[in-house]
Amino acid sequence: MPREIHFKIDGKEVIAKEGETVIQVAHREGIQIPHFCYHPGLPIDGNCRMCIAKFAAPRGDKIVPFPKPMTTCTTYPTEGMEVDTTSQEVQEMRRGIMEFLLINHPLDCPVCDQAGECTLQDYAYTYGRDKGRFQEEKVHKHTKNMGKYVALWGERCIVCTRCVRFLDHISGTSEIGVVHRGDHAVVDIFEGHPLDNPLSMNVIDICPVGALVSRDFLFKQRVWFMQSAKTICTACSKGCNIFVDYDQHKLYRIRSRPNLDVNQWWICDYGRMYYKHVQREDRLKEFYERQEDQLQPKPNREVIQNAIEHLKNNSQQTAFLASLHLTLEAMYLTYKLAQHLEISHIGALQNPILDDEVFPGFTIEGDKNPNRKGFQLIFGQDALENGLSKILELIQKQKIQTLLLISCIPDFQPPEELLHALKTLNKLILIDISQSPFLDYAHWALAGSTYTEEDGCFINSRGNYQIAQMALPTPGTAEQTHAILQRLIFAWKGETKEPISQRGVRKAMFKELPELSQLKEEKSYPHLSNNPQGTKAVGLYW
Amino acid sequence: MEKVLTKYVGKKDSHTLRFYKSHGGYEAFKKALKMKPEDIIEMVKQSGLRGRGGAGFPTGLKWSFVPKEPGQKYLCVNGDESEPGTFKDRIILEHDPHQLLEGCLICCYAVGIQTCYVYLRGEFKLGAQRIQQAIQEAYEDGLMGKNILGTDFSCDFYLHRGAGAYICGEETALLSSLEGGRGLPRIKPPFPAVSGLYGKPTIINNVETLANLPHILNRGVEWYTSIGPKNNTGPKLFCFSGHVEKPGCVELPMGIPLREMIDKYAGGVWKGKKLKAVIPGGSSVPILHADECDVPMDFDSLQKAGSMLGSAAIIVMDEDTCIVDALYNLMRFYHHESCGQCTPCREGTGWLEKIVARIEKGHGRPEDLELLDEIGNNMVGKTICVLADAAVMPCQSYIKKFRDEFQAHIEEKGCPFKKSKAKTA
Repeated sequence: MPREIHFKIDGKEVIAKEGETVIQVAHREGIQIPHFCYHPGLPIDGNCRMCIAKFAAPRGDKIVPFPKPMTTCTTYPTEGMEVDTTSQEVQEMRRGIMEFLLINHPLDCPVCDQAGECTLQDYAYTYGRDKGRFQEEKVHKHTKNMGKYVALWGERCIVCTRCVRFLDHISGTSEIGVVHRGDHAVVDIFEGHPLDNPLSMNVIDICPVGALVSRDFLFKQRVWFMQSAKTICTACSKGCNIFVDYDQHKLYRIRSRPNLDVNQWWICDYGRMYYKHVQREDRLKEFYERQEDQLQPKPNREVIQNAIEHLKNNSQQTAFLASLHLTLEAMYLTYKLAQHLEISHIGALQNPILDDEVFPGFTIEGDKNPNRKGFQLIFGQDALENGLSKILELIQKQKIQTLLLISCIPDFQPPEELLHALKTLNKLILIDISQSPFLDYAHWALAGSTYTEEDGCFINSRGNYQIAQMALPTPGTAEQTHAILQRLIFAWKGETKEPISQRGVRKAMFKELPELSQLKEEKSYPHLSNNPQGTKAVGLYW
Repeated sequence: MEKVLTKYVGKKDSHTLRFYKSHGGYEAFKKALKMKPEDIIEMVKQSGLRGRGGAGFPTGLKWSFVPKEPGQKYLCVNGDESEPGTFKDRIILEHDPHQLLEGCLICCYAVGIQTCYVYLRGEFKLGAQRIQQAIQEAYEDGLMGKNILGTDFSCDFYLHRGAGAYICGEETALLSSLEGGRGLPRIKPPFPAVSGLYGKPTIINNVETLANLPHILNRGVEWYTSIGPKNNTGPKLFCFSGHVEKPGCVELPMGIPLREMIDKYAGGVWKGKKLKAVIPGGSSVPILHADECDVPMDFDSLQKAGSMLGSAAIIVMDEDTCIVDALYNLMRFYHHESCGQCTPCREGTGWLEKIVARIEKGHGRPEDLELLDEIGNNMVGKTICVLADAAVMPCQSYIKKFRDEFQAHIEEKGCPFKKSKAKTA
C-alpha cells in the first residue's frame, strides 16, 4: 500500500499519496490554487510562480515556518506540514506575480481569441490592480504561423512552457522551444520545421493565454456566445471524449474533454478537424426518389412508404449493409428491421484499418471506425468478417436484388467491387449523410445524421460504451438515422407513430439483447472538465 | 602574508606540469591516495574551508551529502566566473591549472567520483587552452584516466566551455548547460548532491575552493585554520577594481578591515579622491557606504554588516561616481542575463532597468523610488534561483543608502554629475 502523508491546506486536514505535490492534493480536495504552468497531464516545471504559498512544518514540538514562500506545484508534502494558500500575505504575493505577468502583456483582450476562457484574464480580475503601475514601453515580440493549424501571438506568451513540455513528452516531436532570454523570452519553432505533428492542436487547449491559437477557429466566434456538447469523437475506435462548441446551429470547434482512461487530456488533429463534414455543402438535406434516372426530392413520408413497400415485397432478395459508424441504437434498429423482414444477409461497411500512430504519450488508433465492437455484439462476428463478401457474391449470382445500405461514413471511399455490384442491383435504398459515390446508384436516398446530431452510444476499443450528446439538429428535412429506421419499422407495421428518443431506444435495446448486458459504461471525469459556466463553451481551468 | 594560491603566478611556465611537479605538485594527491576517503572529507570539514563561489557553504559538509553507495557520480568545476568585478578564478586557470586539477583529483578520490567536468566560461580562451593542455599532460603522466598511479582509483577529466551566460554560474543552470540544454536553473530540492548532472549525485565546487585542497592536504588542518578568523579560515583571493590606484587580484587572509585593504593592497582611492561607496563582494551584494568600510572582510562580519563577501570582488567608487548611473549599469546587466524562466525575475529585471534608466535620463517621478522598492520586494525569494535577489539587493541598497542622490536626479530632471562635467568642460 502506498504511504499516506497527513497534512493541512488552509486548516483542512488532507491526505497525500506518495509522489503527489501539494497542488495535486489541493485540486483533488476541491481547493483551487491559481496556476499557469502547472498542468496535471504534463511534467512539472514551476516557472510561473503563481501557485506560491507559505509553508510550515513541525520541528520537535513546534511548527516552524519555511524561510521562503514556495510553489505548491513543486513541493511534496511532509507529515504534519501546514500550507497557507489564502492568507492576506499570500494573496499579496500573487498580486505581485500577476502584476509582473501583465506588464508586458498586451491589453488586446477585445481582439484576442482566448478572451473569455483565458486564465490570465480571470486571475487579472481576482488578483490584478485596477490601475497599472507600469508606464514604460512594453517588449515587442513576433506573431507568426507555427504550423498548419496553430498561430502564435508572441507578445501574449507568458513562457509557461506548457506547449514545450507537451511536445517534448506527449508527442515527442519537440517542434517548439523557448528563444531569447529575460523578458524577451518567447516560444518559437526552428526555421523550416513547422509544428505539424498530428497532435499539434493540443497546444492550443493547454496554452493558458491567447499566445497559441487555432488558425481554424481564429476570429470566428467569441467563446461566450457558444454552447458546448459533451460528446464522443467518432474519427477512430479510440472514442476520445470531446467538447463540440456550437452557436445557433453552427459548429465552431472541437476541444478535448479529459478522460483519464480513454484520451487523458488530449485528442488528435484529425478528430479536431473531423467536424468539417457536418456543415459542408455536399450534405444530404432531403429525402430523394429516382424518377426518369434523376433523383427527385420527395416528402420523407412518401419515400419511407415506397421504400418499405418495396422491401416488404422483395424481402427474399434483400440484404442489409450497415456501417461501423452507426450508433449502437441505429445498429439495434437495423437488426430489428431485419428481424421483421426476415432478412438473413447482413454485412458491414467500414473504413480500411490503418497502422496505429504511436506517440510517447498518446496513440492515434488506426481503426478508423468508431463502433466495431457494437456491430460485433449485435450482428455477430461472422456478419462483421464475411457478411459483405457473401452479399457481393449473392449480388453477382443475382440472388440479391435489393440492398438497404446504411452508410453515414464521412468521405467514404467504397471498395470498387461494391460499386461494381451496385450497378447490377435492382433497387438500392441508401441512408447517408453526404453526396457519396453510392448516390449514383440509389433509388431511394434518405438523409441521415452525423455524430454531432445524435445522442447515441458507441463502444470504444477498450470495450466500454460511451454516450454522445447531440449538439445540432439535422439539416433540412434530414432525420436522425435511428429515427429513419424507426419510421421504416413503423411503416412496416402499418403504424403511424412518431419515433421515440434515442434514450428510449437504448433502454429497450439493453433490455432486449442479452449480449449487451455485459457492457460497462466508460467512466467519465466531469470534475476534470470543471467548467464553472455549465454548458457554456468556456475553456478548461487547467 | 605568505602567498599560497598565487605563489607561482607570474613565474615562467608556471602552467606546465614540469614546473608544477618540480615545486612539489601532486604530492598532496599522492598523500591523499594513501588515506581513507572519509578521512579526507573529515579533514576538509575540520579545515573549515568554505565555498569560494559566493555563498560560503562549508565544502566538507557539501561533500558529505553525496550518497556513499558506489555508482556514477560527477564533479563539476564551476569556472563560469561571471560575477561583475570578479577575476580570481581566471588567475588560477591561466597561471596554475595543475593546482586546480590536483584539487579536483583529491575531491574525486574523497567522494568516489570517476568523472570530472571542468566548466569554463566561454570568454576564458587562454584559461581553456591551459586547462586542456594541463589535462593532456596529466593523462600522459598517468595522473588521470584508468588506475591512476597504479591504484584502483580511476578518473576522467573533460573540459567544457560555456557560451558566456551569467546564469550558467548558478550551479543547477550549469548542469542544464552541461547537459546541452538552455542554461536554466532547476528546482531544489532535489539538490545536486543527490540528483544533479544526468540525475546522478554531483558535486559542484568553485575553482578557488578546489585549489585550496592540495594545501590543506600538504600542510594540515592546523596550519590552514591558523589563517584568518574563526569559521573564515584559509587564504582568499580578493579582486580590486573600480577607482583604485592598483586594481588587481590579491591573496590575503580574511578578516582584514575593508578600508585597510583598499589603502594597503590596492593603493587607495585613485587620484587622491575621497571614497564614496564600495561593493564588497561582486555586483550582486548590497553596497557599503564609505562610513561602513571598517568592516572586516570575512563571510560572517559582512553578513552582520548587511552585505555579503560573495565572490570577494571589491569594486570601489570615488566621490565623483553617479550612484544612479552605476545602478543603471547593473540593472542593464541583470535584465540582459535573466534566463526568463520565472515570472518575477523575467519581467521584474526589465522593469527595474527601465525605471532606473528613466531616472538617470531625467524622466524620474517622485513615486518611482517607492515603486522600485516594491518591485524588489515582489521579486525577492519568489524565484527558482537567486538571480532575482542578486538584482534586487543592489537596487534596494543603493536607494536606501544614497536616496538623496536619486531624489536629486528626480528633482533636477537629470544627472547632476553629468551636468557638472558638462560645465567644467
